[in-house]
Amino acid sequence: MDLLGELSSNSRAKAVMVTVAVLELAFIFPQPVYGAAPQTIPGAVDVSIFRSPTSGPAVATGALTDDHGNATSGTVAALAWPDEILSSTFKVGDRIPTPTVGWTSAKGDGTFTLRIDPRRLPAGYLSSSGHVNLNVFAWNGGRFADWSMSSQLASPSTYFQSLSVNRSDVPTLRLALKAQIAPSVGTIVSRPDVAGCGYYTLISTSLAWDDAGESLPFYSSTTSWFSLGSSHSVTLGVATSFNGTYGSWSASGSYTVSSGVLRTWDSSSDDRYYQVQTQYGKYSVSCYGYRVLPIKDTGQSATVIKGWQNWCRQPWIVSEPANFTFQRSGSSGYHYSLGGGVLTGSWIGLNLSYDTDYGSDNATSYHFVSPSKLCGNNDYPTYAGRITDNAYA
Amino acid sequence: MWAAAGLVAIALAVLGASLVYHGVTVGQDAAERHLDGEGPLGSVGDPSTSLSGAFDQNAPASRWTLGVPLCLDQGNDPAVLDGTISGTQVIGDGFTYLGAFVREFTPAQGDTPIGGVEGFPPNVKEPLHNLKGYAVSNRCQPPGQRDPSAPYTELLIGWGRGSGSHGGGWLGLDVAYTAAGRSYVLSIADSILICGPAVPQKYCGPPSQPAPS
Repeated sequence: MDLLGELSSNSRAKAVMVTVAVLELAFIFPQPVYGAAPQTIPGAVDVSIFRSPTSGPAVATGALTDDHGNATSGTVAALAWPDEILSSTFKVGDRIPTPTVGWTSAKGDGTFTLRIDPRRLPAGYLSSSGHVNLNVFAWNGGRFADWSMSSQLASPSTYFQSLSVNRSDVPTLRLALKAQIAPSVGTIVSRPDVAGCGYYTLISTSLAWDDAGESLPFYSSTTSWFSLGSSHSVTLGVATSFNGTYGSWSASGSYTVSSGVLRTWDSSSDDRYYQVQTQYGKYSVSCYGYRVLPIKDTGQSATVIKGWQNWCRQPWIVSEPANFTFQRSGSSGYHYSLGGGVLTGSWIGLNLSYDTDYGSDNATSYHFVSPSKLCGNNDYPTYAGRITDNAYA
Repeated sequence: MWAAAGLVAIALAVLGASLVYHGVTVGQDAAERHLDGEGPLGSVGDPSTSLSGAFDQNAPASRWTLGVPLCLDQGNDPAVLDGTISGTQVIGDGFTYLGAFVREFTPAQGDTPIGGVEGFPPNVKEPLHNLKGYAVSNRCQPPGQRDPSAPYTELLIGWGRGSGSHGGGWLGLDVAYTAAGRSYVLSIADSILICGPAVPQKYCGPPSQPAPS
């Protein structure tokens, strides 16, 4: 009998072997610091991420609380979402691959800093603008929270190790852990086995118009136009629901979608909103309900003529001469964010947020036939979120 | 004798001119060029923001004033303008830079910035200060949190038609100054133009392409 056979025939030796195997597994897959049992980790999270702390840029800081608002410990993981090109290839019924790209622990005071390892991003998960969309999962025992967010890595380079995130762009998340709710019955249940949880499946798609910009010239004495460059990106709201029914949705973060579509609207003296169309997907998330997420810019455009909106507020007024064209592009000041946002109300009962910056490819222009005044809503027109024209201001 | 003195005078003049030339050149080379928001002197505060003002080529007026905000963005020492303003990139020859002044006012007292007005110098109630030696000390303020009772410093640039018929102007604006004993050039992404064939269409009107429905 060889040594292995001899050991195998010995019950004490078997116990030792089992113990060693468990220890080896524990070494290879160390559990999150807070010590949760393995089965509390949502199945969509790749446990190999726990082999070591995540090395890479910080994409979010935040705090975990329980349902009473008290700080609590827990584990937080970031799962990457496909970019707009890859997202648009999935069909209804497809399960969406969401690679785990980072994790961290929240200590007893609930605080955490979440980093992602860009080397874990497969092709198709980093957009041409350098954005990565993330689903942030947080859990402790049978309680769970999630949030959708976007982070722009400083350079869309292939040298992932050098990527970083501007400090000012790192959001602070407040994640309240809730007992999971069984979507079918709407009651709080204990789910010790979550191995099948956290997987996204596309169940339907819909098109929505987004208010991408506006210009508000003064009667016929001024004309205006708007352009969106071919490399602009927009931040679009994300919604969550436990049962997916109309009216049950609430905002749950945002994704950034890049567009390769160049749009220029012609000049007009009408007060107008400029709209672009986005395809949204509705996803079931096993154990965790439903989500509505943007998929892609469809390339469609529209214009909506609004009534006279040439308000002016002191002191945010500047004078403009006749026979003159003023153009603003760039991201200073407030991003353009209109109350209408993404017009998904008829679909899910909730309009989602839409935020675009006046990026270098995006411009709002006013041409003054006679002297006039440009007015900002919250600052001078150079910096304001909205600007209008009023010759009588 | 007189011929020798003349030669010496010419030699000294050439030497002096050379020294001045090299001195100026060395001075410019030594200046640290920075974008808006990345040095002591600031304007809008964000290098990704760009503003443009373009005058119609056939406008009745021939002289204008454009206003550009200036503020102290970094450090505590005032930014002292050295009197030099130039275009980061110059296109065409159908324009003339007429000079510049600085004024300071308080928005809460009822005055407002100049985007652009006809005429130069502009007709404003505040005194117009020479550019050279003016010390900018008013702090930049974050967008949307501006205090109207805080003083506002405005660079007033004079602009006119030039000899050429193709329009032109400055793409970008360079403002030279010193702060804490160091020389800088603030490069602002603002453009000042007179429309014409030399100027890209996007500054003067919508591109001629079918409009989205």
